[in-house]
Formats: sequence, C-alpha cells, structure tokens
Amino acid sequence: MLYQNILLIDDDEDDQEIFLTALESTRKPVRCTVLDSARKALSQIHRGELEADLIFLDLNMPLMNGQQFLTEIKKDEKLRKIPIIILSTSSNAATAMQVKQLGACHFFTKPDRFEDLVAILDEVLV
Amino acid sequence: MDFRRPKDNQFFHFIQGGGEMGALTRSFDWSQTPIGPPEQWQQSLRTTLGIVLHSAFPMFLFWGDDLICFYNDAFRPSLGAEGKHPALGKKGEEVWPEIWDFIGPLLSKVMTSGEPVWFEDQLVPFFRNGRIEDIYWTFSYSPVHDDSGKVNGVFVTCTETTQKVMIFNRLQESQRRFQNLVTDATVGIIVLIGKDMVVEIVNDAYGQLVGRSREELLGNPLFSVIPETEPHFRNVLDGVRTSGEPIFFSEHPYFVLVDGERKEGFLNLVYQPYRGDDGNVHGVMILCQDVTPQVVAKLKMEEIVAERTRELATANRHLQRSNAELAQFAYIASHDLQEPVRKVATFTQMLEAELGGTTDRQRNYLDKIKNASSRMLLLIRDVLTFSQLARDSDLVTQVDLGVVLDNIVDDLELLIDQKQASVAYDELPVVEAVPLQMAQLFGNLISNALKFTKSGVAPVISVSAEKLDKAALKSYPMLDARCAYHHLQVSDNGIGFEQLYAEQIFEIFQRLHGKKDFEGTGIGLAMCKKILQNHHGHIFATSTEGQGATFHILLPENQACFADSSTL
Repeated sequence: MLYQNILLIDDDEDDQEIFLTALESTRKPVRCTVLDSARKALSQIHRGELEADLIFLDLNMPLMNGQQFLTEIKKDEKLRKIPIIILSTSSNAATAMQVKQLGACHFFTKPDRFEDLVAILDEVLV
Repeated sequence: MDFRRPKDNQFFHFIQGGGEMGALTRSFDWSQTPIGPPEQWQQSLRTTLGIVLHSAFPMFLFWGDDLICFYNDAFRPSLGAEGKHPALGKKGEEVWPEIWDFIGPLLSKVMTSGEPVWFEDQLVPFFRNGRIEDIYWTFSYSPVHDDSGKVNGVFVTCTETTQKVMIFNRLQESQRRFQNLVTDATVGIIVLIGKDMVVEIVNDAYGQLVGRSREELLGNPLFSVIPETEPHFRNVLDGVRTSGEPIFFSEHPYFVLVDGERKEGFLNLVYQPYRGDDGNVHGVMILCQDVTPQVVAKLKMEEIVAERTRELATANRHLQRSNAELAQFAYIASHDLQEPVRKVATFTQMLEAELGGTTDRQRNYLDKIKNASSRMLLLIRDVLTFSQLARDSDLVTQVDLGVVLDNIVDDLELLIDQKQASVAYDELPVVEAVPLQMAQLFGNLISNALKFTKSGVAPVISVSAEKLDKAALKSYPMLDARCAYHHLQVSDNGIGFEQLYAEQIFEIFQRLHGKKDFEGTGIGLAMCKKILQNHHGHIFATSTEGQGATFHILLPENQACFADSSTL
C-alpha cells in the first residue's frame, strides 16, 4: 500500500524535527502533517479538516495521551481502518503489549540512531 | 509422825483434828511466845483458830501485837519446800521480811481501822522452793476482835492465783503478739463477722489501702464504711462465708473513693473463711497486698512492647513505601533521562551527515560524543530494566526454558556466528516463572559468555539441567527444603575470574575489567541475582581464572510452593 498523507502526533519539537529529517531522507513522495496535540488531531479528523492514511503517534502527551487517542479512533467505524504506528520513548514491554491490544499495528521505541529511524520509515512506507 | 500428846486435852478441843497444822499447833510450845500457853488464850482466839484449822480453804491468822502466825493445811502448800514452813508461832515480821513493806502497813491498817481489805490477783513475791517466786494472790484481810472487843488479829482468807494469772498473762501476751502481727503486717488484714460483715479486726495497712482509718472501720459493717466496693466484693464475700471455701485473686483491680477522689490500684487477695471456736464459719478474713506498682510496671512494659511492635510495623510500611518510591524514582529518572541522551545521539548523527566532509579532529570529537551518549543510553536502559524487574505473581506462568534458550540463540545468531561460538543445551525443564525475566536471565548469561572470551579460542557454551535431590538440597541452606528445585549450569570456556570475586560480580555496577576491554554496564549479573530472588531461587558462580566459568542457577519448579510468602 502506498501512503500519501501521513500524520505525526508528537508534542516534542525536537522529535518532530528528527522525524521530518528522517522522512525527508527516505525520499518517499508523501505529505506529512505534524500536530503537537492528540486532542487537536482528533477534533480535526472528526471535523473532516484533516485526512491521514497513516498515523505516527507518541504516547506521553498532555491532555490526551496516545492510548486515549488510539481508543477514540478505534471507536469510529470509518477511522478505525487507519493504521497507527506508535513511536514512543518507552521501551516497556507491557506498554507495547497494551497498545497492540488497543489496535496499534506497530510499536517502536524512538531509536537513538538516526539511521535506525530512517530504516523504520523505509520499511513502513515501502 | 511423832506427835507429842497435849498436856491438857480439854484446852484443845477447839483444835481437835485440823490435820498436820492442827497437830503442830497442839504440840507447839506456846509458853515461849508472847501470847502464852493455850490455856490462857482468849475465847476469841480459840474460836477463830478453830475456824482456820478446820477450814479446807487456805487461811492464815495474825494474832496479837506481834502478829503471831497461824495457818491451816490448805495454806501449807503455798509456803512450798525449803521455805518458811513451819512458820507457826513466829512473829509476822520474822516470817514475811521480804514483803513486810507491803503487808506490814496493810495489817496495821486493818488493826487500827477495823476495816477489811481485799485484793485480786495481787503479785506478792516471796521466798519458797529455795528462791523468791512471783506469786499471785486473791486475798482478804479481816479484823478479828478479842474478848474485850478490841481488834487484836487479822484473819486472812486467800487463794493462790499464780497459775490462773500466768495463763491469763500468756493468753494476753499471745493475743498481743497476734495483735502486733496484724497491726504491724505490711499486708492489709481485715476480719469481717456475720452477714453484715462487721469489722472485728483490721490493721493500718488495710486502712491505708482503702483510705479509711482503723477507727472508722472497727465495729462497723464494711460496706457502710466503704460502700463503693460493695458491687465488686459483696458476692465474693458472701460466697466464701456460705461455702467455707477460700478464694484467691491475683492482680485484681479495685477502686475506692477517698474524699470524693477515685483511688485505684491492683491487689493480690486471699479470702479465707474465719471459723469460730465451734468450727463454724463466722465470717471472712481478707488478706490483701497492694501490687499496684508491679502491675503498673508490667502494664507499662506490655504497652511499650505493643508500642514498639506498632512502631516496627509502621517502620516496615514506611520502608516498603520508600522502597517502592525508590524503584519508582529509578524508573522515572531513567525513563526521562533516556530522552535527552537519545536526542544528543541522534542530533550528533544528523550534524555529522549535515557537515559532509569533516577534519580528523572533528570526526574524533563527534565519535566521542556518539560513544559517550550511546554508552549513557545503555546504562540508563539497564537501570530501567533493573528497576522494572517486578515481583508480580500475576506474571508467573509455565515457562519452557528450552524455548527460552531457542529464542536467545536466535536473537544472538549474528554474534554467535561472528565469534564462531557453539551453544549447546540438552533437554531443559519447564518451570513456573515470569517469562520475560527468564529471557533476561539466560540472555544476560549467554551474552556474558559470548563477551568474556579468550582471543583466538572459539567460545563453547553449554547449558545443562538436573533436578536437585534431597541430599544436594541440604547443602543449600538458603533454599526451602519442602520445594522442588532444578539446578541449571551455564558453562563457558572464556577468561573466567578469580573465585575471590565470585560474590562481588553479582553486585550492581561491579566490574572486574576496564570498559576498553569489555563493554557493559555492570548491571547484567545484578539483574540475574534479582530475578533469582524474585523466584525464590539462588545464583552463584564458580571459576578459575583463565579456565572458563560456570554459573549455577537453583530455580524452583513451582512458585506455588511459596504461596505463603509475600514475594512473587
């Protein structure tokens, strides 16, 4: 599957920058929207202001965390098909298991090597 | 006995008979005395003497100005042996010199006044039986008139009461001793008589206990003086009096009201039936000892022990909480530390890419930043993993250790190939454990075996297992002999270590080698030790430097065996 509109939800500006730089270096023809709030993202998606066919989601965020966002999306019949990939600082196995049960299709700990992130994106975006 | 016959019997008809003293009187040569021979005696003397000699009651007669002595057989024993007998016909003063100071004035008083005197149980000590004896008398001195009507003698009726007085004195003495015993006793003593429990005997010690004086108590019904004790003690007292059975109480609480103030304490009590001469129970004797200080001290001690126990429990709770907080802190700290370090590492790589061509020196610095940050990340993640080694029984399940080893060998395939290592293991048991922790345990041990290798020697690693038999179990006192254990051994042919360090290597951050020689954080074996602790097992290592090492794992087959334990 070829993704065209991807969405990154992460409140950390550094990580946003790292992500975008890595995405750029994959040279994939995708558009990427970046939002720093899961709550904002959810309401924009619900209002139809935002379209995404793949979501990268951080977990630890204020007001609404990644798990809550995941739960809300999976409640919606139309939205539940959007694949969601967790990109978190956490390396906790229990957390990984939890988000997979909530419907995330992948769980990645934010890599400390830039090339590793590029490799992940290469693999996911085909 | 040889009695001389009287010269003229007709003068002695008044003293016919009269026993020994009669005979002595008759045979006495009275002509040598101031009262002259009997034929000259006045009728009054004859009559009185007749009464004296014929009486079975002890009698004595003093006659004339010289108080010449007469007495009868009944009086005779009172003179004893080796004493005054025979005193017949002698002057009073000659016979009774030792008591003349006392009886002389009495006699002259009776002679002059004509009035009798009377004494009861009077001590009159005189010489008899070879010594001065204390003798008690009840006696009367009566005047005797002569034929002219003048008082010319003193008629004495007397009875010796020495024995009676002695007995009485002894009785009094013993009663006094008993009284002293009761009075001076340090235990409270009270005797209550009858249904009304009238106080017959009571001592000061009892009075002090109940805050009443002896005078207040004596002769009064007990519960009229200390009514506040009635609800607690009336039934007991009635019980003892009616049943005749004694009752004992130890450290019995009591209180009394003294001037409206409550005085309380603890007593050891004995209720003893109090029997009269007829053998019937007339009342109750109570002996009570104040044990308040002892009981208070004991209660205080118990309170202190309870308090210490509570403090200990509280301290334990605090310790548990602070342990939990510490683990939480380690988790949060290491978790949050990851992020900035990860960014340093990532941005350094991005910077390097961005710079394109770099000088050797620039590259060197960049490498140092990358190495330092990746090492820091490694440390942080190991600390994080260590802090997350949960002791959660919910995570326990059946784990096939063979499968665990399969997965580890899979994960480490690249490294194993690089090192041309062989990892061999035969059939490994299935145990009850936390699966992730088993993977961490064997992962760490196999990684170590692949790390601490001898250069130029292909690593040979083997894992074996056997069930620990009863005899072997005994040699490990830290294990619970009621549970079944497996003994697993992970052996290698690496560099080994000095046996001296066999325990130290399991301490966190303990390293035996420089970082340059072998990478690592010094947390791996500490994790292994904690995992074994979590599973009620044990780990230890044996090695000879340069000759490989063997890590021994003693792992329980079932965690249910430790169900009563608070861990896992």
